[in-house]
Amino acid sequence: MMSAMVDRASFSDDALHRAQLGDDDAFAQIIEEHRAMVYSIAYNFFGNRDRGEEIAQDVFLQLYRNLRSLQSPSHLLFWLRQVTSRKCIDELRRKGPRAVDLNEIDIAIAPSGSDPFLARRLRRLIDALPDMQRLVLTLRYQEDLGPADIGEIVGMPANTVKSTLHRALVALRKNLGETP
Amino acid sequence: MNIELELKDLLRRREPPPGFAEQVMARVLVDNGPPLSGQPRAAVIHRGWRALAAAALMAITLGGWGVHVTLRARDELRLAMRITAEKVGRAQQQVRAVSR
Repeated sequence: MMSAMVDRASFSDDALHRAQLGDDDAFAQIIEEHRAMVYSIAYNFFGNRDRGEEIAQDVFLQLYRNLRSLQSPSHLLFWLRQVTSRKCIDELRRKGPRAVDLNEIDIAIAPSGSDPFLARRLRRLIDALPDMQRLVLTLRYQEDLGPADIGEIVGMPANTVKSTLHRALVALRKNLGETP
Repeated sequence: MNIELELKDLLRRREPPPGFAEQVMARVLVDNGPPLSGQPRAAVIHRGWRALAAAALMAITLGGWGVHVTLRARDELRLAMRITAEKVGRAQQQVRAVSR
């Protein structure tokens, strides 16, 4: 288990190093490794596949131009999360409120064993949250990050992240008819 | 209902549509041009720099050799002129001696 983790880290390190030297195959490996994370942050923020894909492509293009500034695979991961988050906010300000594709909120998104109608309802409620609450919620539950890490990514103190997260959860519980 | 578990399920990572990586690479190539001769760009750039350095070294070597040849020719010319001047001087002395 440990050796597999070390192998994976050295693989990522090697891919980053080779990509920095101009190896396009290594850059393609980096895309393969991180595409689900980048795409999902944008998708979960916008609730729209097309905008999620558009943002994710822009992030990887920007990554290609900034490869030399990255020092390690963990720096790369942080960079991708931060740039994706910023792009989501910038895109929203530039193009206005997102168009949530209600057809995407279908049974297919509900995980197996989960109530699809509850999933659809929860998705709608998430989409109605303020932008920063939605972003913090995405980083917390998609990426399983703590308040300090989220704070570094979105540029706010950990306590502000905690209160933002708390407000989001209270709003969701309230709208689902739960007592907080 | 555990809302946090529901959120983890709902906001889980998911894969982008098929062909995503290919589309990104296509945009990279449009922005930066195709890789040269199938080689990594940096390797080709490094090779270019090596060729340039070799050419510069050759130019310096040839230039240096040219300067060396020129300087040696100048020295030989000076020596020849000095020998000639000495010979002319000796001949003049002999002519003066004969004419006395």
